[in-house]
Amino acid sequence: MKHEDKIKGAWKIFLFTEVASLVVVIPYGWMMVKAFTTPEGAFTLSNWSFLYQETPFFRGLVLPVIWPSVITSLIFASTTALLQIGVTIPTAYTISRMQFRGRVQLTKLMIILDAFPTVALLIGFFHVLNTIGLMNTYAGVVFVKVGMSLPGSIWLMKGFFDQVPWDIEWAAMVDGASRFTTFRKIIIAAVKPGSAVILVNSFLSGWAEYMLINLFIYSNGSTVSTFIGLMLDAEGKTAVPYGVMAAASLLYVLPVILLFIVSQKTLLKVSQGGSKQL
Amino acid sequence: MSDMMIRMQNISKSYDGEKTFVIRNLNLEIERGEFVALLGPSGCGKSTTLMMLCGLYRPTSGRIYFGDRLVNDVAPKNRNIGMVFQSYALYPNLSVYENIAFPLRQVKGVDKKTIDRKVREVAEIVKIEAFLERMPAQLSGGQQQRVAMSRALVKKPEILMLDEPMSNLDARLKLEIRDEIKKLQGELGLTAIIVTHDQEEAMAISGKIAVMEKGVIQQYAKPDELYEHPKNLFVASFIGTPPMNFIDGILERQGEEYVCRTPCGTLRIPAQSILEQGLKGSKVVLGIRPHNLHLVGGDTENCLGLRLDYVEHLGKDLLLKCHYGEEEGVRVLSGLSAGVHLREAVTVQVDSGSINVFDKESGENVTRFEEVTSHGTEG
Ligand SMILES: Nc1ncnc2c1ncn2[C@@H]1O[C@H](COP(=O)(O)OP(=O)(O)OP(=O)(O)O)[C@@H](O)[C@H]1O
Ligand SMILES: [Mg+2]
Repeated sequence: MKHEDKIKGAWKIFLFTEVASLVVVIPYGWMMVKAFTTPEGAFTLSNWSFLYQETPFFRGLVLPVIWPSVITSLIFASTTALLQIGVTIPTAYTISRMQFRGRVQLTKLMIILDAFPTVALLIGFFHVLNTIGLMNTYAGVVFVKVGMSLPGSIWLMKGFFDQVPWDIEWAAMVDGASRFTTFRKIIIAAVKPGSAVILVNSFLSGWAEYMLINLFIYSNGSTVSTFIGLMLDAEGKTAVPYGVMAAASLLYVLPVILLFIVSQKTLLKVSQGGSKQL
Repeated sequence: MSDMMIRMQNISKSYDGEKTFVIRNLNLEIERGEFVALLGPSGCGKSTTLMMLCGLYRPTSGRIYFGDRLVNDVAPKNRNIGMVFQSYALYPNLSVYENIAFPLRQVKGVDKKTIDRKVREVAEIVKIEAFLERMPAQLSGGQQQRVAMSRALVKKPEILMLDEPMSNLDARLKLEIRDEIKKLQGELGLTAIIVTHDQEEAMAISGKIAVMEKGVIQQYAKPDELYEHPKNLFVASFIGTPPMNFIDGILERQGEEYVCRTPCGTLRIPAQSILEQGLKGSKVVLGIRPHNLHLVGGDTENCLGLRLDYVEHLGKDLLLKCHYGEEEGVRVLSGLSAGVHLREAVTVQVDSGSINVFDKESGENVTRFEEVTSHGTEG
């Protein structure tokens, strides 16, 4: 009886989910269609000419070939992700495992800092980057980007480390492994899903970064996000050739989809469970 | 005293900078090849004691010797011990084979062949050869327990430490694994220490038991001695199922014997079987095991009058739950229930010489045990 009740009510939830996802799905569908059609609606590949040649775009604006921007974006996103995980893991492990003064306060600070909006700190970052001479460099943007998202990722990662039982570390100690060996061979593997979440998220967030690059890098269109931004900045937005923009956007989301396919198995496997605990 | 494997001398442990002590002035000696249980209720400091023995915690004060070697500052890996944790603590990312091989791989210069031989050897002893390629998560609780055992044994340690190794297993598997651990320990000539809160398990598996309460060892003795002659009320109430009955009484000397008046009857106890110097006053608690009470027809010598509440079937025997006074419960183990009725009065006779007398104030056992003290407490 109960089972049927459940199914009866379920359609409402389904309906809601369907409608909600339409909001997301429709723009993507529109993008797919536009990328391969002329404004008149005929099939064409001409929207993709930025793949191999400079393309006159609109009102004298010439789109460069997109590949250098793709490469810059890839490097920017990868560097962000690697730096992020590289700082997050040891810091989170330390906060989770070691006893030191101010440990609790530090954790609280992480939570507050995580909630700070980037925009509120822009002036500060301008100042810092100017002072240390990293204005108009990608190193500077990576620095700001990672700095902004570290508190959140450290906090998240600490949670994963907290889940690893002390017993495992102790067992390894009795078995003769050094703390570092234990960390490298056992603990890291136990928090793999957490690291994957942070790695993927920070890569995607780096790949998607628009505002910081636009602000701190003077040249235009040097990453895919700002490449697309170029078209937006053109005046008279009503007449923008949507086909070209859709094509560029499609190229932009492709790595995101690829990354998801590659990493979904790890991401979905949040708990590995080494022992049956009560 | 040369064959003493482990000596803990005046060990104290505090986790909060000596404000409160979790272990207080603990002394424990374990002989080579002995199987010792640390038994006590939750939070009494059993695990803490074990952790200090294996070197994961440092004692706040006191000394620990393994043989003649002071090991206070020796790292766990250099103590020649194997350890099984309550959660088993298997490495979730390593296969069973790699879990067992892990301790060997931490030693420099052990070649692959030796590792392989040793892993398979111990896997065979513990009967998990069939699962070597699996991941820990793909094993049942019992199998995981065996893997943890093999990992602890693969380096052929002198001392095996087990922290509640069976608490995650079901009742039948517990019995099985218990026997196997006991057998392994004997065959390999290990000195073993097991932490448990299950008194039955401790009685069954170990040669000697340290009963702990609030960080203090209350009694350290062989199982039968703990059962027959508990040193104080705590040990008496902790050891034995069904538990010992406790009845308050007032003791009065009458010539060659003591007369003890209780709310449910008067008992006579020979004067020489009580250590007079242990008595702080006339108030005592009588401890009587359920199997030392017998249903009788009429009121004869050394009898108690009770009221029967209900009967529990234990298979061969019946456990009669009775009470006297308000709700003071008394359990009687009986072979038969002939002639008794629920909610009615019953008379039980107490086996003479089976009564443990505790001083009410100190909780200490003040019964004199002539025959046993000669060979029981030494060693
Ligand atoms: N790392 C720690 N920090 C602070 N206090 C601790 C720590 N470990 C244990 N304690 C405290 O020490 C006391 C003894 O703990 P211990 O783990 O030794 O008990 P136990 O006898 O093993 O209990 P259980 O049967 O529940 O495992 C407890 O009061 C516990 O709260
Ligand atoms: Mg414990």
